[in-house]
Amino acid sequence: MPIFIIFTLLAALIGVPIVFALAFGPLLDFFLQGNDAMLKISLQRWFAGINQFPLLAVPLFILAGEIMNAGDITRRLVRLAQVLVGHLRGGLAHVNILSSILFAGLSGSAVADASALGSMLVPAMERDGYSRRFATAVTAASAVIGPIIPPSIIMIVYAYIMNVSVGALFAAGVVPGLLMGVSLMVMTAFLARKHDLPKQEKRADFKEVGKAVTQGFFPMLTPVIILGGILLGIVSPTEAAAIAVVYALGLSLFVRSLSLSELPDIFCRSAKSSAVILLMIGSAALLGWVLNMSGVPQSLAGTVLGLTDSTLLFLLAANLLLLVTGMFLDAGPAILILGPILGPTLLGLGLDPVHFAVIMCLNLTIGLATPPFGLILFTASAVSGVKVEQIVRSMLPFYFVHGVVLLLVTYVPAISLTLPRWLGFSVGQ
Amino acid sequence: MFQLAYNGLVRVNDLIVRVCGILIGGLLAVIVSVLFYAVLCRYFFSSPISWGGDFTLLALVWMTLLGAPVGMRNGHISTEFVLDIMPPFMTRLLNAVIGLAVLFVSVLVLVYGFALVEQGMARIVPSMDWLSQGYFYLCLPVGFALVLPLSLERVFVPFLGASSNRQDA
Repeated sequence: MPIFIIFTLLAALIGVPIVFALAFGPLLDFFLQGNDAMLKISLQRWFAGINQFPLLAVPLFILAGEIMNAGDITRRLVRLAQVLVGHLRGGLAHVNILSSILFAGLSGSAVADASALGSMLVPAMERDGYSRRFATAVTAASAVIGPIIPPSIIMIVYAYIMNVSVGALFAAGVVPGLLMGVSLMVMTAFLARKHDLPKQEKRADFKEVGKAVTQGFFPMLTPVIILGGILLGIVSPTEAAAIAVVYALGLSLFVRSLSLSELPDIFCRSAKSSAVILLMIGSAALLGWVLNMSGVPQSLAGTVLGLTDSTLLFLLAANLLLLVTGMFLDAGPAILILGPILGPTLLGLGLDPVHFAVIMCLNLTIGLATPPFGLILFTASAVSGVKVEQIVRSMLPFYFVHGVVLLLVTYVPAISLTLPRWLGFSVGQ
Repeated sequence: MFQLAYNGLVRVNDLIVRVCGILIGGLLAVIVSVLFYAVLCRYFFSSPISWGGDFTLLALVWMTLLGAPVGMRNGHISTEFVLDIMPPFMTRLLNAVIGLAVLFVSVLVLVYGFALVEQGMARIVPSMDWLSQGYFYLCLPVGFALVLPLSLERVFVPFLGASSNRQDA
């Protein structure tokens, strides 16, 4: 193994921020060699990794999510979910999951989902007679849907680093995301019967349904505008993101759920989290370039392909690797590091890159909801005050659902690839 | 003496983080406005603006690199499990080592970044002929020059920071 990989791994392991750790290995290596020219080219690569038009979508989708979060839009979605499924046994648990599905169409991040919905629904569920532990577990389990149903920030990152179409990826995420949502609801229905979970006394009448639908109509137009615009090829993902921001802003200001004085804070917060992601993309581009020159991914692909030419086995191994990585690392950095390494192998096996993207994003997002370092768990725990170990215990049946859906998505490519193929993207040939 | 210098450093860093934090928020607002305006021009007034793409990119790279020092305070993602399982004195030592690693990267980017800027100054951005490519590259050394004092703070925080207790301000 080349020395720069060891430098980088060591740095990342002891806790050097990932953005510096990724660049640290190559830079230190070139510095020790006294290779001025390579140091200069490295910086150029770093910069070129950030200086890309498609990446503009990242801060814009983050901003759109933050604006909807701050405004009244989350509450309207929850209300809509409530009139639709609140009367079932385990009503508010279903509401929680359905809200996650609806919210996934607006925001691109699982953590935003968990914090927005958790802060609203966990107290409501507790008042209704659920244990706080279970309420938090449902929130965390369903937050996984967020980055799978488009728009999705990690999918933009994947599309960029692996050079596939954002539109195709977005289209490929819709069905797996819905499948995850429905499967979680099935498990909830089972648990509701078993533990006799509460349901809401009376079913919403026609008038209430009408009101909730009217109030939810304009927020729910957001995913339609974003997806419709991108998938029909009217606007680029970046333009769609800009429109989403302006639309969310207009909506929130119009219904007066957001005051102008809150805006500077929202912009600064979004800019900060975007900068953190984009910087990492830059240093991952640098590391990826150096990796490629060293031939490590290619020789790794050769080794793996020499061991097995079974796609089935490779996918199983890749899934295990991703799951373990996801337990320790955030999804974005994991994609940035593992994408270029796993890429050559999967192409060698004739796997569709869009299919693999969905597997990777789903797997890493599930990793966010698993201990020891799941960001979703930490967020849910911070919002509800329930200890992570306790959430995890209540999560066990939902982990089972996650696993089953992951296996389905992995071994049935049609789940991911049918929709993009219908829409005319060339995938899965 | 050291303590005094360190406290000064922390105060300077507070200022850097606050000013950069406001600047990047503003740049994001600029990006949104220009992009939306560009979409309007293209689809409704059918007169696309030629400088829109390059201009938003310029704002994007500056937003990103000025975000580098801001991220040094509770922003950048890192794995913390090794730090968590180490005995306290090792944690302090490792924290200093982490600061040094960041310092090393920043110094290199600073030095070689300026070389890039000089090179880029000779090239003009096609869509905006009053701007040279160098101003794109300039964000690299500027951003990391501002990371420098924050990485120094990280080096000394384990030894001098306990009393002032401001590492997560």
